[in-house]
Amino acid sequence: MNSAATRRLALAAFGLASVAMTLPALAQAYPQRPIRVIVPFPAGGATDVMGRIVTKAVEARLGKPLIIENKPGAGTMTGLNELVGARPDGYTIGMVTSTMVLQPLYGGSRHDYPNALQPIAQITVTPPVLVTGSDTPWKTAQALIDDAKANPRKIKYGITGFGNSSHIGPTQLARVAGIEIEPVSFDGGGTLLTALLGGHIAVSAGSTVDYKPHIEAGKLRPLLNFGPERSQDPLYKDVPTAKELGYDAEIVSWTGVAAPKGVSADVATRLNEAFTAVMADPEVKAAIAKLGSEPVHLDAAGFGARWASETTKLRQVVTETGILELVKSQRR
Amino acid sequence: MTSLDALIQGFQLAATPTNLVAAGIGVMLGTFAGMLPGLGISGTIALLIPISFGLDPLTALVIFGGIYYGAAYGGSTTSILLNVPGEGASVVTCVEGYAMARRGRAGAALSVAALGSFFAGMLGLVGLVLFAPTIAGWALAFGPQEYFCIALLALVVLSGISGQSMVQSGLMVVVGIMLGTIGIDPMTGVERFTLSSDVLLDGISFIIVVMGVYGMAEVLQTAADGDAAVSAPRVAFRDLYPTREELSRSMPAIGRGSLIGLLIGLVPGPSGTISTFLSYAVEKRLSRGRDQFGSGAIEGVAGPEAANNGADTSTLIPLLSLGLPFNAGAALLLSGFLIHGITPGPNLVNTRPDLFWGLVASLFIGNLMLLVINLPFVGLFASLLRIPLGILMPLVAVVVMSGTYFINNNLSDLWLAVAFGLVGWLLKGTGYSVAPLIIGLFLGPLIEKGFIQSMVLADGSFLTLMSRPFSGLMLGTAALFILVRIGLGLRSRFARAPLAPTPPR
Amino acid sequence: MQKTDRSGPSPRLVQLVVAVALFAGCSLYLYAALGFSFGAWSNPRAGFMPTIAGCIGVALALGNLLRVWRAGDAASADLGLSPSRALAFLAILAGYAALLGRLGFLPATFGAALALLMVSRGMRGPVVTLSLAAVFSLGIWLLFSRALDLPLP
Repeated sequence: MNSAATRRLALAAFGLASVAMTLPALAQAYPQRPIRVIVPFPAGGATDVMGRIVTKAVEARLGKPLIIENKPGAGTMTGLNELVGARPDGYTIGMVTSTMVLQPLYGGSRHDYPNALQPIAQITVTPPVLVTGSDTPWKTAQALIDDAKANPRKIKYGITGFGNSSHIGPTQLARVAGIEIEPVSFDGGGTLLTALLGGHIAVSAGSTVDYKPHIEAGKLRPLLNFGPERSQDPLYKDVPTAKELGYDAEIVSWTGVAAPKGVSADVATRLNEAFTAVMADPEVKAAIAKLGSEPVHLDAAGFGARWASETTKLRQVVTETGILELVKSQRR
Repeated sequence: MTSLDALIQGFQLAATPTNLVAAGIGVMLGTFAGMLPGLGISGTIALLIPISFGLDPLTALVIFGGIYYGAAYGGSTTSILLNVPGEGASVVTCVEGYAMARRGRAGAALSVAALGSFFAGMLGLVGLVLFAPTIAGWALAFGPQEYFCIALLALVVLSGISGQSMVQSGLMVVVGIMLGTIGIDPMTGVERFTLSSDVLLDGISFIIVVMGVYGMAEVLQTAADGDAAVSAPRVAFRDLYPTREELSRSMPAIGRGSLIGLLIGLVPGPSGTISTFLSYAVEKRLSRGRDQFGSGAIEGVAGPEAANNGADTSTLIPLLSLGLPFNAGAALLLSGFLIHGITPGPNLVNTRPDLFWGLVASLFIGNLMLLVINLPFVGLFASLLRIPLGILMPLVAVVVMSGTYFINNNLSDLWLAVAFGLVGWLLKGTGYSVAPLIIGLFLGPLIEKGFIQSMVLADGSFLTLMSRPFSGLMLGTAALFILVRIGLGLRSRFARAPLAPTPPR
Repeated sequence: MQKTDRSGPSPRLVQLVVAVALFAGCSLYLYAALGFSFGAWSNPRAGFMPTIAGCIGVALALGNLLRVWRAGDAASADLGLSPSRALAFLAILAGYAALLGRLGFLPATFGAALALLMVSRGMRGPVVTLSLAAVFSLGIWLLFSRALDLPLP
């Protein structure tokens, strides 16, 4: 082979290769460089660890590293604000939780997150469970409600912040059951759990993940599940939902992944596919379940629909229950 | 099986070559993380989480345990040498430790800090082994009412720590409380005093203020002093280590500090920081060298450092026996468990005795390693001070700035660090002490939370605060303290009045 | 230390400015605090603690201002011999905060270290200053990005 032929062959090969590169659109080209994942919690928290499990698996599929950046603070809003402000090129995505739907309702956030972000995938769902200390006289949710009916304002429940799911669930229950119970605000799940175990607070509605070891040890008693149906977990499967008892109260917490609004369709598809594949992986599911959460995947469209429907539903709930007014009344 | 047998088995598990190496790595990493301002344990853990997936659960926990201990110790190094506290619990160490370093006693301060940490850590671990369930029960007996009273008592006792006039220290405490209310209120979710700025949305991080008003302000002060600033005197190697007299003065301080730390560690929240301040206040009144306070009293290093490690150790008791993390460091250890699908809690001792006792044993080993590794390095660290200040301080400024970034990975935090550097420099330069400001900043939120919770729980009756034995005791002590303060103040005013009458105006 | 060498405003003036600033700050805080609902002693709301802190703060700041005004001596004030140097440090560090995100870690850190060293060492030994800044910034960059693998801006 003479040198001219070699050159022609090389050119042809180059041409072919470049056609091959461009033909299946830019989707193949994405990702070209590492992807930043904003986690609005400190390193080491349950959401952070969950994010690390999932992104590790996604990394293997996309072929580029996913780098976690912890931006904790302001009840996830510091991280969410940064995510909203990032360039929508698919190289910045972030973990989101159900508070992103609630915060805009109270007017306390910089952005209307469900409209400023673009859904990618839901990863887990956790219904809050109403628990009480094992020394309290209430063996069932009904006993608690009857007692509250007989003694208005006597029973206090712990919440981890005004207007979040730990507040909404019991408030809904109180409204439909016609009872008066009072919320006591704590600055985090840890301090609330301490007060609950020490008997300083009667009941609280919180994450199944946090309560699990204490229920197993017999220190806490689950009374009521605020989810739409009973939990699969053997520990919680005998706990009735509020609906079963005839009380129309329902709220769930979820975590997922989102991008700033305006990511191109190709990139969005690629991300959606990657997360769908990863969430079908039994190993990933097992790792999430090991943490105590329930892996429930929703694709981009399904996750987006959840944002929209929950915004509508929760706006009605927080208005009806008077939570919105309570939050607003803090200002003069 | 008694605890002792179980502990011996734990030692067998922890003393395998792999786990010994792991403990060594953890301790070194932790010391290092504690020394780098801002990086701290949570930064280190972020590095290690991905790696630890592949490790045996006990090995991973041993590393995390080492980091936990090492970081508590390492924080004292930069405080003593450079007046840069890497975490809240090292603030007090700055005061006497840095003064000692300026006198050429840096080595002694570092050694005593290591000894105090070691003693308190060991004492706490023995307590953990023997009485964990009982002690954990005490931790649960404290409710919001008790937290409120403890915080209030601490505020009353500590606000007098600086020895300036009551108006000045009171004003600094209140300014600290005000700074503490900035940001989203964790109780109500309402945004307060943020001036609609994202920088202030999450409030002003305690550690950034501390790094600003101590570290940055020190850098600025040295810069302003210019050539007049004097480097620490050079010392011979022999003089690096504490003298017999320094040691004998430190011992009682270490003992008192350990006890304070062990008790306060059972209270959720920034127990390490509170315990160091309390220990300082106690030493300032009780110790033999109390008249040297402010100019480098060794008790002011030994006591608080012991208290810090004591608190960190007793915080492990509610963590391991109840699964409740009472501070950020314990939350880190908890996540170490979670990664491996283990949830610490009341059942841990029964379900995974290997992990529980293995970890406890490795903490004993790690504590000893810390002492063995760190004492020889004292000389090396102390020699840092031989670098001329004109070179050292600019570099410290850059390290503090980059450390500030790593706290939250947030660039806007750098502005806060610079701003608090200016504030600290101006306040110190015009005769205010910043210690009460720091105290107000970390106690303010605890007092606000505790009071609101107590009032709702008690349907607005102040009586619940008095009628609970522990909180009543705290409140009584606080009231007594205020009365004594006022009494002493009046007496000294009357005593001084004839000598120095205020000129009529 | 010779007081005659010092540059910048008189210590007394600075003392007064700081006292006035504290008073102004506390007053503004109280004004903002009144925008939140106080609640009641039995049921405190978001404005409870801020209002109390604001009132006490304003009173103490006023007392402090009077104290500084009447004291008249500047014995406790000491901003060093050349406060302008500290201000130069502040300016450089503020510049560092502003440029870190734009320039990247290594160049910004090198620039800041160089500028700070030049201020504190003056013009002596420019080669030493330059190499110190270079070695130091490279050193901590390697430490953070390679050894510790931290996410850098």
